[in-house]
Amino acid sequence: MHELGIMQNIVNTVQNYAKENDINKVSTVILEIGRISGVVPQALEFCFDVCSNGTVLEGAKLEIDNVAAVGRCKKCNAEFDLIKNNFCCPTCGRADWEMLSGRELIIKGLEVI
Amino acid sequence: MCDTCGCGATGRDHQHQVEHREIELEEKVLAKNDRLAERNRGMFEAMNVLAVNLVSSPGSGKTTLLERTITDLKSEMTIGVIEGDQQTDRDAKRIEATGVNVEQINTLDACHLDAHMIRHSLSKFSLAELDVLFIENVGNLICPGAFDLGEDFRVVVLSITEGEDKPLKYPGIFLDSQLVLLNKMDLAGFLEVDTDQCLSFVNRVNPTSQTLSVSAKTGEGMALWYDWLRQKVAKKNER
Repeated sequence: MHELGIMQNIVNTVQNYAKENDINKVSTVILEIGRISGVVPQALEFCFDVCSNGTVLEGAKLEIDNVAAVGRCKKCNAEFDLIKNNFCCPTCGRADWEMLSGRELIIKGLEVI
Repeated sequence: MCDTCGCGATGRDHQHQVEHREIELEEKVLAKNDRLAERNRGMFEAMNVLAVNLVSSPGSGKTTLLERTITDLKSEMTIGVIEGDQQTDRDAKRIEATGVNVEQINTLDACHLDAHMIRHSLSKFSLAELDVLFIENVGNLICPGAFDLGEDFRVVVLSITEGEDKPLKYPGIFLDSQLVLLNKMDLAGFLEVDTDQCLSFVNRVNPTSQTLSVSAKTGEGMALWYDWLRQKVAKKNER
């Protein structure tokens, strides 16, 4: 359960950005969270209100884009959902792949007033 | 009255007093940790210290593995240990008894070590004298996976009592590891656990990870782990 710390990081990053760019109010924060990032989106949402209170983010909307864990098979080039397929290529059955996405933990953008 | 800005206009095509702007940030949430981890890495590089981050669930046998490793290798390499636990210095005391330098970090509410904690702890060691720094992370198979500490290698200690499917259930921590030590092999005869399948699951999640089967209690298989360490220390000193 490190979502509280992660959310505090997000709020601090946005606050610093807002200060540097003379932004007084953030209305939306958009995050990209990969399926294998080790972070639970619902827990992040839960922490958002607590962490954003009294900051430029207070009252802002939190938008989370969940990113699937996708691998590309090194043998047959098929792209597949790693978790749904238990890390095995569903086309040729091999477990030799490169990861294309799924570990994201990114502040994608903001909407500001 | 306009619902958006509260002005008196009724038409849709007037200028709102409130203007929304979209800004692309693309900022990594853990960017600060990653920067500090790079600094730690630079320090290990400059001082020729091999840093090994040991991660696992609670009770996998990390401390027992370290006790045995230190006892068997301390005559041939200088070892330091950072112990991470939420509370108590019980593990640090066990390591201290082996005669090496140890620093305990109590993370209190945090479920993992981060690069900042390591940075502070490093000031307590004479890094120039160390060959290996073991960082025993907080026992947790999820959170430590997200935090780079600047280590050279991440080693997962997985005990066979946890069941063979842990790599599939908690893939994140295995993705960035270079070695998995399958521990408590002395119990294999008492458990209904398929150790070969467990190792194949590790390689399914991380095709490039090495695996070794060991028992930190009896010493079975530990020689190969020591060879792995010797080889990495030698390589670090070559640079």
